Amino acid sequence: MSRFRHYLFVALVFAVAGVASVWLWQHEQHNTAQGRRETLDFNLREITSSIEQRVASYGQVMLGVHALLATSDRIDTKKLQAYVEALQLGADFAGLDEISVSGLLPSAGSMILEADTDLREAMQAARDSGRLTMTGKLKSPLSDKGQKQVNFVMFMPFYKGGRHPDTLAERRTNLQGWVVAPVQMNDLMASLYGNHVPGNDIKIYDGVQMSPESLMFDSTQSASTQAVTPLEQTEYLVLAGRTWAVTVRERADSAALVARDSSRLMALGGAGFTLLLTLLAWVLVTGRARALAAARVMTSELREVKERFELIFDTSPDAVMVTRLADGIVVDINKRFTVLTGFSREELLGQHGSDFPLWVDPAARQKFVDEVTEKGFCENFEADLLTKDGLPRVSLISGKQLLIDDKPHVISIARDISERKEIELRMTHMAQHDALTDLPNRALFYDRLQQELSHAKRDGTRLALMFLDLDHFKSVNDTLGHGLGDALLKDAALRMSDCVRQSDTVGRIGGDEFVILLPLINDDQDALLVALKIRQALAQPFTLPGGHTVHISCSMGIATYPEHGEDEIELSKNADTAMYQAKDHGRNRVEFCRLSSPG
Amino acid sequence: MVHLFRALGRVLLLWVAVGASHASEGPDCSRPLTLALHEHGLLYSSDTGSGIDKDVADELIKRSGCKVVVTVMARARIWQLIESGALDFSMSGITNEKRDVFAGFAWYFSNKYYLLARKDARVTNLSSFEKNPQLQLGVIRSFRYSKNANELVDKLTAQNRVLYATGLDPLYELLALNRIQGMIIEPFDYSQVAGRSVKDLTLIVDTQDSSVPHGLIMSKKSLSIIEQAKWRSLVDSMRRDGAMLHIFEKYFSTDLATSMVNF
Repeated sequence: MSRFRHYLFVALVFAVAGVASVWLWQHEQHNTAQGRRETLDFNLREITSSIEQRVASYGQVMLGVHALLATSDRIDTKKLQAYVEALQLGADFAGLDEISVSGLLPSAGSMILEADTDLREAMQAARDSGRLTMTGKLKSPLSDKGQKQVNFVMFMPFYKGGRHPDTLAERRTNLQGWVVAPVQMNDLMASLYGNHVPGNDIKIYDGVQMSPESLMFDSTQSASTQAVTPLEQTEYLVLAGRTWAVTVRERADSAALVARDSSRLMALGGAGFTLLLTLLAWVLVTGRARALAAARVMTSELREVKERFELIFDTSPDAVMVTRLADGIVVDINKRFTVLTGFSREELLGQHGSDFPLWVDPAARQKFVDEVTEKGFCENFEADLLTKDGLPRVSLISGKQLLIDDKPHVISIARDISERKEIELRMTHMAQHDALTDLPNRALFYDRLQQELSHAKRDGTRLALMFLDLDHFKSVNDTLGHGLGDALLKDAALRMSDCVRQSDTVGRIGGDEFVILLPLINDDQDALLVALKIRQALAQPFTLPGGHTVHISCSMGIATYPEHGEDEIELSKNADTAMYQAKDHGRNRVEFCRLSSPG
Repeated sequence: MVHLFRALGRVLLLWVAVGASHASEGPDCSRPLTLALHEHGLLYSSDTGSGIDKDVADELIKRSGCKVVVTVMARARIWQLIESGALDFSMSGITNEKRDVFAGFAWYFSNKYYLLARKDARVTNLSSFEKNPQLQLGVIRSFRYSKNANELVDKLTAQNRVLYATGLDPLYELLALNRIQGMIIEPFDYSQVAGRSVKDLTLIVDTQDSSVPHGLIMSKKSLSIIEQAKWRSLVDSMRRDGAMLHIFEKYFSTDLATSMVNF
């Protein structure tokens, strides 16, 4: 119904605007036509008035001749010619080619009978009225003067005594003759307008019947295609007892036609205006509906985005927490956060970040918060977090400031990397320890040796490095097999570890070769005591799986810093040398590096 | 207020006295005057060189003692020249607001206007003529008529339903040819109608207008108020002494002539 009302309103606007435009267009058309009619009417009046005056002026000239005749006792052709020349008729009288006097005879009336039929009627009318008359269009050329053709002839009667007789009978009796003026129509019109009448074509017919036979003058030029049908108007002019039909027609170059027809422009403008107004009405009317539709789409998109965000938020493998930057209050957490920490959403929302024991190290938390506050973000901040149950979880935390409802918030994303850390530690341990005995391997041992050497150099302390080789261990492998051999090595490693302090290091650097680092000794005796303790421990029988009891011994060489070397290479070389000396001296003994003994 | 009216009355009396004294002196004939006739039925016909207007003009000229050059020209041109002052007089003019600005009048007869319409146009009144868009009216350029007739002419002009002529003759011919179906005529046109073929084709329709006074037209530009009063006095004298009625009786029956001159 609402939509129907909209359509109805738009249709109404279209109809009203359309009707108004059509009305304006027709009004303009009417005005244009009216203007053209008025212009044409004005031109017609001017033309008929001009013709009338021109013919009247011819009559005046003839009246002058009449006056000459009336005032002269005797008139001949020469005198008449001299008079006409004295008139100095200029271009205005171009149509009036000659003026003559005919019938200067006592029996002028008989002239009428002899005259051409075309002339007779006008001559009679002039005689009877005593006034100027003119013939109709002459059917046959009167003049024999070459190209010029006389179109009509004007007659002015004159009577005996130069008077105008009062009665018809007297006029007929006393007629003496006529002042005769043949007129060329083309010249008459040319004297008025030149070759062309501006803006109009003129046709002049003799009588009210407009036919080719009665056409006396035609200024129509070659026909041209005209976009607008030209208007035509006729006025009937009464001249010296004759009627001329003067027809004026608009020409294509007429100012009235060229300048005034703005109705087409009005029609186009009106059509454009109607369409624009209808479009505007449509836009206005359907604006609310379209806004609602757009809002629905936007709402739907927003809901979709929200749902997508919530899906991502809740299914994220990382724990996410959103807090207000201004006061540190928790605004939101995702499900993974609850899984990671054990804290439920209800427990944390509205709480300050420091109100619950999430961070193992509060200083680390502060550092993270400071970095996010200052830089706007913090990436891969590794920290230990505590679960609600107190279990530590190593986490990689990233934080970033963002605006929610135009207020700054911090979104913190924590990834639990505890397992990864554990694997990393294990792999590091494996890389640094002997797989069989779990003692530091060569790399780790020499690393520690370098460190302790640095400390000793820095502190001016002493340290001892021992090389140990199990005597005749190969025979155990050979007789009992590698499995039991390995078991013996593990057991021997445990006994050695038990013989040293926490700060000391026992490492395995070969099959049955071990090294012991004593980073802090006061004198050689300290090292010797430890070496003897180890030798004694290893001298105890080993009970191996399968009930095998094995007795072994060891040979040990000791080198001390700084006496037997400044670096690990020299120390190692001297300790190794001392160990081989112990083997050379019968095994199961401890030898100090000989360099330490003068001579 | 009473004093004011009295004073005005004295001035008016003085003016009338002066005018009358001037009138009694006769018009100023110090220069040749001009008078134009127009061909219109019994008013003037160039065929016969006679008519009511010519007779009245001749009598006026005779009584004035002035030299007056009489010419014949179209009515439209007459009004133009009267307005410009190039022409002093013309005959049988009727007034309206525009003409009153440039012309003075000396009334000598009054008559009604009628619509001469073709019978086959089936016209019973002016309104029925106007309502039929097929009908065309023939008028003489610049002619004005009585109120209803003027309204008809103006409405048809706006509808482009008017054909113009400078004389009555072509209008009768056009009426006979059915190119126009009506024209406005006056009683002094009857004789022309009666003598033509249109007589049997046409009928006379009443315009429901009252009579309109016609008179000597005087150019205000060329004739002073005093001179106009003198000429008006001459016309009045013709009416008073019966000369005017005598002229009209030459062309109309005594009853009609009397009704036209005594208004």
